[in-house]
Amino acid sequence: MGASRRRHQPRSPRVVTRPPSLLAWVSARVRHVTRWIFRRGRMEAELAEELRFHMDQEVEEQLAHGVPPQDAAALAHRRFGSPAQIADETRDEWHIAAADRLGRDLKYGVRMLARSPGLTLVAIGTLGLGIGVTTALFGLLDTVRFRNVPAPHPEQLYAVERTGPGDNLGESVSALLFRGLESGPPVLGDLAGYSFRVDSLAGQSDSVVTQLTSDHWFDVVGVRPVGGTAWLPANPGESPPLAAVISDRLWHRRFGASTDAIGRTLMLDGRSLTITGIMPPGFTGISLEYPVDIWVPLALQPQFDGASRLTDGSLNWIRVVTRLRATDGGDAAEAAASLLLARLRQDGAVTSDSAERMALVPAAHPELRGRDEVARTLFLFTLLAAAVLGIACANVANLQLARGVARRRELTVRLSLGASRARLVAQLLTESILLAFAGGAVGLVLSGGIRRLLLTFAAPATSGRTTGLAVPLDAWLFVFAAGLSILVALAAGLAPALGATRLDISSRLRESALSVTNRTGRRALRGLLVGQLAVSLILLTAAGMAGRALREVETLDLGFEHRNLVQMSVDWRGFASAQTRADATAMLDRLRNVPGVTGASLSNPAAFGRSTFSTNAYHVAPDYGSVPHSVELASVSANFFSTLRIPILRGRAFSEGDRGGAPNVVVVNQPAARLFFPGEDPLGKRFAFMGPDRMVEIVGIAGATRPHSVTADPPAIVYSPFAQDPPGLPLGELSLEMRMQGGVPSLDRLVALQGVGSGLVVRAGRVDDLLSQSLALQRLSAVTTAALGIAGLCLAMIGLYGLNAYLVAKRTTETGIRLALGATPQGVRWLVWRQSMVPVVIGLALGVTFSALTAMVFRSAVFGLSRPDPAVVAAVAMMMIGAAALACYVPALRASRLNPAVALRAE
Amino acid sequence: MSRPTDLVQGTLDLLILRTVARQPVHGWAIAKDIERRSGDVLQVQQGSLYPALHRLEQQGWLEAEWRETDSGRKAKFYSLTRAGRRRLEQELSGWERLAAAINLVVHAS
Repeated sequence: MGASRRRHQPRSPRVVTRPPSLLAWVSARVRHVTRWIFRRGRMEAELAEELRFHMDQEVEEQLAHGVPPQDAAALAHRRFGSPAQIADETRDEWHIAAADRLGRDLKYGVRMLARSPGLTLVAIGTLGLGIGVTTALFGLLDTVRFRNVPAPHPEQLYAVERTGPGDNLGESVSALLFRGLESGPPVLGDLAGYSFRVDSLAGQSDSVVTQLTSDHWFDVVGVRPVGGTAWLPANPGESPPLAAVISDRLWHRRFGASTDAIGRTLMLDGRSLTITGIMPPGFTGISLEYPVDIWVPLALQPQFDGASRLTDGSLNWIRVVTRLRATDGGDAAEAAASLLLARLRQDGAVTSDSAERMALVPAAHPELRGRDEVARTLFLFTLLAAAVLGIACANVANLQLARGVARRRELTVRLSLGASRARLVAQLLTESILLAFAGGAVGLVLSGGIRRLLLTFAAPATSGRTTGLAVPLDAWLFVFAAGLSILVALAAGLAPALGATRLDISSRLRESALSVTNRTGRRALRGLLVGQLAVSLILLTAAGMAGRALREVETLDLGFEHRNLVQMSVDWRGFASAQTRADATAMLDRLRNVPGVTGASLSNPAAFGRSTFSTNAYHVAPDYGSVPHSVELASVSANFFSTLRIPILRGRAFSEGDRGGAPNVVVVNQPAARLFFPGEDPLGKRFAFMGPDRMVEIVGIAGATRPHSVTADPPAIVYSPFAQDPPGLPLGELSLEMRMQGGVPSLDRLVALQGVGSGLVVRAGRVDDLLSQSLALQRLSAVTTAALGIAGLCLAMIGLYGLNAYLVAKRTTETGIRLALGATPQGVRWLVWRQSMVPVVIGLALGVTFSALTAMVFRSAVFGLSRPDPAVVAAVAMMMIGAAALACYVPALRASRLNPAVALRAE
Repeated sequence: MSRPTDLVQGTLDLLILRTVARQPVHGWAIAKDIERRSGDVLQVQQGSLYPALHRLEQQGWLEAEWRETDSGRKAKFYSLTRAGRRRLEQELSGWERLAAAINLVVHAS
C-alpha cells in the first residue's frame, strides 16, 4: 500500500501561480473527508466503475481498429496499466491515507488486545485506578481550594488582616484604617469592606444574618443581584440609602418569590428598609460560617448600633476583602498595606493595638493561614499522585513489554518483509492509546466515587458545607483525565514498542520458545518492578506519617477539656442595659438546672470559634508604661475555669465574692503573663484596665489554651469577672458553655430552653466540631496520602503478581523439564518464589533508604510531625513484604503444579 | 506514432482543464481528445490521468456527475466550476509566460 507515486509524476516547479486560497483548500478538504467518512464505499465503487468504463472504451476502440477480441483485452490492459495501482494512486490523492491507517490500526489494536483478555482487563483496571485516584485528587483539591467561595475567580480574592508578634491575627480593621486602605495605592487591588450582624426580622421566628456592606463589595466579589440592583452609593454629605438586598432563599421564604418584592420594605431591627435587589440563587455571602440573607449599606452602621464607629480608629469591626489580579501581587500589596498601617499609627489615627503589619490571606481558605503552607501541601499531594500514576504506568509498561516479547517473532517477520519501523511502532502505540483511554474512562467513573469517599473522611464536621463541596463531574475533569490518558499511553507504550521492533532480525528468527525472554527484556521488567515497589513503600510511609500527624494533632493538649462541651453563642450586640445582663445571668442559672448539664458558665465574648462580631483584641498597657500588647479579653462567670477545666497554675480563680463593688480583679493566662511581666511574678501586680482610672489586681495565673484553632499558638488572654464589668459596657456575642454528661442533647431542645426573647440565638454546637474545622488540612493530608498509599500498594501488588504469572507461563517448558528430571514440586515452588522475591527485597531496600528523604519533605509541609518515625517505616516494610510474598506465592504454586508431560509439549 | 513525451504534472492539469472547459466529458474522452488534438504527440498515461482528475475534483476546480453516454452506459462526467475557470486562466497565462521565457532563452543568439 502506498507505493510511491512520485515515480510517475515529479512535481513541476511552478513558475508564477497563485496557490489556492487557504479557505478554499480547507473547505474542499473538509468536504472530501466528510464524503469519505460517510460514503466511503460509494466512492470506492464509483472509482472502480470509472476505471472499468475507461478500460471498456479502450477495448472497444481496439476492436474498432480491427484487433481480434482476445488480443484486444490484453492490449487494452497493457495500455491502461494496472487498475489496482491506478486505483491506489487515485486514492492517494484523496489524502485520507492517514485517517485510513488510523482506522485500521485501531481495529487491529482492538483485535490484539482481545486476544489476551486477562492481561487487557488487568491493564485497564490498573490504569483506571491510577487515573481515577489522580483525577479524584485533582477534583478534590480544586474543590477544597476554591469552590467554597462562590465567586468568580476565587483565587484572586484575599482577606486583608492585621497581624503582629506571635502571629496574632486580627480579622477586622477599624473604619479609619479601612478608609485609608480604600484610598490607598492601587497595588492593593479593588477593596471592599463588610461586617456581620445578627438581627431579628419582623415576622420571622429566627434571626437572620445581616451583612453591612461597602458600596463596592458586589463588584469586588463579582456577584451582583440578579433581580433588581444594589443600592446606589450616596453622594458625600447625603445620608446613606435605607436600602437592602436580600438573598434568594429569603425571597422565597418571606415573599414567596413574588415578582413585586423589589420596592417593598423590610423591618429589620426596628428599621424600615427598601428592597432594591435579590441575589442569585444559592448565594449567601462569601463566608461559609455566616450565611447572609440581607445586605445593607455599611454606612448604616450607626442606625443599628446606636453609636457610630465610622470614624473610629480603635475599634476593629470591618472585614476587608480585595481582589488582586496579578498572581504575585500579594507581597507588594502586603507591604503597601503595612506601610499604610504604620503611617496611620504614627499619626495617631489608628490606635487599636500592637498589630505591626498587614497580611493577605486567601479568602477561600481562611483557616489555612499562610499561602506557603497551602502551596506546599498541594505540591506535595501532586507529587504523591504522580507517584501513584507512575506505578500504574509501570504496570502497563510491564504488560506491554511482556506482550511485545510474545509477539516478537511476528513483528520480526513483518520487519524483514519491509514494513517500516515507524509504522509498527505507531501500531503498537495505538494499542497503548486504546488501553489508556479505556483506563481513563474507567478512572473518570471511579474518580467521582473516590472523591466522595475522601470528602466524607476529610470533612466530617462541616455540617451544611458538604453540599457545596460535592461537586459533580465537570468539563475540566474530563479534559484532565483525557490528557492524563494520553500521557500515560505514551509513557507506558513508547519504550516497549521501540524495544519490540528493534532490528535484531537474525537472532530473533532463530529463537524458539525454549529460550526465555532475552537479558535486556528481563532486566527492564525487573527494573520497573523494583522501582514500583520502592515508590509504593515511600507512599505508604508518607501515609503512615500523615496519619500519625493527624493523631498527634487530634490528641494535642488544648489546655481545657474539650470533650462533651457544648457552646451556645448568643448575640446581644447593641443591648447595653443592666436588664440584659440580668437576662444573661438568669439564662445561665436556668441552663445549670437542665438535666444532663454538669456545669455551665458564661463568657463574653464567645470562648470558642473565633468570633469577630465584636472586637476581641484590645490593647492593654500594664502600668509599666511599655508598648501596649494585643490580648484577648474575656469577661467570664465565676465558675468558668472549673467548667472548662482550665488549670489555675498560681493564685486563685474567680469566686462569688468578685462582684461589682468588690475590688477589681483579673486572672491572666500564662502567655499574657509572659507578655506583660517577663521574668517576674505577676501575682499581685496592678494595672489600668478598661479605663484609665480603673485599676485591677492580678489574682491568678491560668494555663494556656487553644480555644480557636488547634494549630495556632495559644493566645494571651486576660479574664475578668462578668459581674465586675463596668456598668453600661455593651454586650457582644456571648457564649454559654455547658459540660454535658452522657452525650449532647438535641440542639433544638437547648435552643428551646433559652427562654429569652426569640431571634437571639446564633449558633449552638459542640466545641469539638468547632475545633475540628481547624484541623482540615491535617485531616485532608492524612486521608489523601492514605488513599494514595493504598492505591499504590494495590497497583504494585497487581503488577508483581501479573509479572510473575507471566514469567512463570513463559518458563513452562523449562519447568516441565525440571520436573521431568526429578525436581520435587516443593523444590520448584521454592525456586520460583525465591527468584521472584529478589526484586521485591531490592525495591523495598531502596524504598527504605529514600523514605528518610520523604520524612524530611513531609515534616516541612504538614503541621504536627515531630520527627521521622522508624517504627512507621518498619511497619510498612513488614506489611509490604508480607503482601509481596503472597503475590509471588500464587504463581510459584501454579508452577509447581504443572504436569511435566503437558508442560514439555507446550510452546 | 512518435514517441510520447513525458508530461509534467502542471501541464497535465492545464490540458485537462482546457479540455473540460469546452464541454463536460468523461475521463476516457479527455484522454482521447488530448491525443487527437495534439496529433498523437501527447499521450496521456492513464496512470496519471485519474489521479489528476480526482485531485482537481478534490481541489474544487472540477465537479463530477454520473450521466449516461450516447451508448447508454453510465459514466462519470467532469465539468468546470467557476473556480476552475479562474484556475484555467491562471494556468494559461502561466504557461504562456513560461513558453515565452523558454523561447527567449533558446532562440537568443
